[in-house]
Amino acid sequence: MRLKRPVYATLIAILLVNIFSACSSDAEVKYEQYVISGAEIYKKNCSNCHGLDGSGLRNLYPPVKGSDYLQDKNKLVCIIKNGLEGPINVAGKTYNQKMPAAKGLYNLDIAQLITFLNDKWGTSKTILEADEVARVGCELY
Amino acid sequence: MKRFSIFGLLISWSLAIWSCGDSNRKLPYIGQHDVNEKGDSVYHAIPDFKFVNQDGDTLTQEAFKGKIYIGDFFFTSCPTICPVMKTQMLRIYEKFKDNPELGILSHTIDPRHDSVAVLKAYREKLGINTNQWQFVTGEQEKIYEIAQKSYMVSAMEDKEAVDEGGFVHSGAFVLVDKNRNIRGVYDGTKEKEVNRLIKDIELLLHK
Repeated sequence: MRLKRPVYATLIAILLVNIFSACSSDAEVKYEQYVISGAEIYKKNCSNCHGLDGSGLRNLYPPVKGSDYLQDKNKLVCIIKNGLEGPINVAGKTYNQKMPAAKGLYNLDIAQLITFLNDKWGTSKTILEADEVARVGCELY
Repeated sequence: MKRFSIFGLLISWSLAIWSCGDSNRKLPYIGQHDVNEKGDSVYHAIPDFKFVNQDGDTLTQEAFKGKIYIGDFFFTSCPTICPVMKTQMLRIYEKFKDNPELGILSHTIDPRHDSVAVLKAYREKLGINTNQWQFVTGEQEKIYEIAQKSYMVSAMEDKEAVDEGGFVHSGAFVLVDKNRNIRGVYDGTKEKEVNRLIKDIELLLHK
């Protein structure tokens, strides 16, 4: 069967669009996947205290939304891995409630979680990779 | 004939809607029912108790005399369901704030850690500043006993709620009426259940 010229042109156009869009959005698709998985991880592991909307609970649990801690991703990795104890200052208020270490989370989970936190409530829209999480030395914190 | 049957249908519908209406709703009595010598029903009731509140004062059933109240069990270092329970209890607290007929009684199940001072700080951080919501501690055995035997919350134990300290506890909110009878048990971690509790409180208050 012989296809007519306009049909060929259309097929080629579709093919080209597919190729280009696939190439340019690989990173975007991955980013989106991290954000979606990170949201699930947040819901399961963090939202009980920090709230589904990230606003914390009164003076008991600090908010994630608008927290300066989001900017220092290395420090954030260590807080999630090791937990936190003692008074801290978040958005001008002092909080002092022990945060447990998230022992069940893998580096990839933490990478997705931090990518989500920043996407939703931070200023950086860049992905955090699992190997970056793995490289953080928490002895410093 | 046809018109008549439609009319009849409408009447029966409105009757059905009316009889299911909220004002006619009755809350059940939870727990074992007994019958006394006179033949009257005797419902399960919360016995006398004696605990210590966030101010170091002794707190007994007298504090809730003439009130309905909600009882729950938690501990301050619990990272699992307690914060959600407290978020939900705050909704009730805010809604019925300053209503002298409603009280809230939160018992810690970790009295070794949750001293009077810890409870006081926790309560303050939650922004509770009226006597309406009391936090109590006491002998661990007494707290477990009243939880299991009287508030019957062991029946709602949630294995997922075991923290590293090994505490198993239910996220239940128990609604107690003015006669100390239990009129409802709700999952304090679920917004919808707490909506139902709020409606039931209103029902009891307006009786």
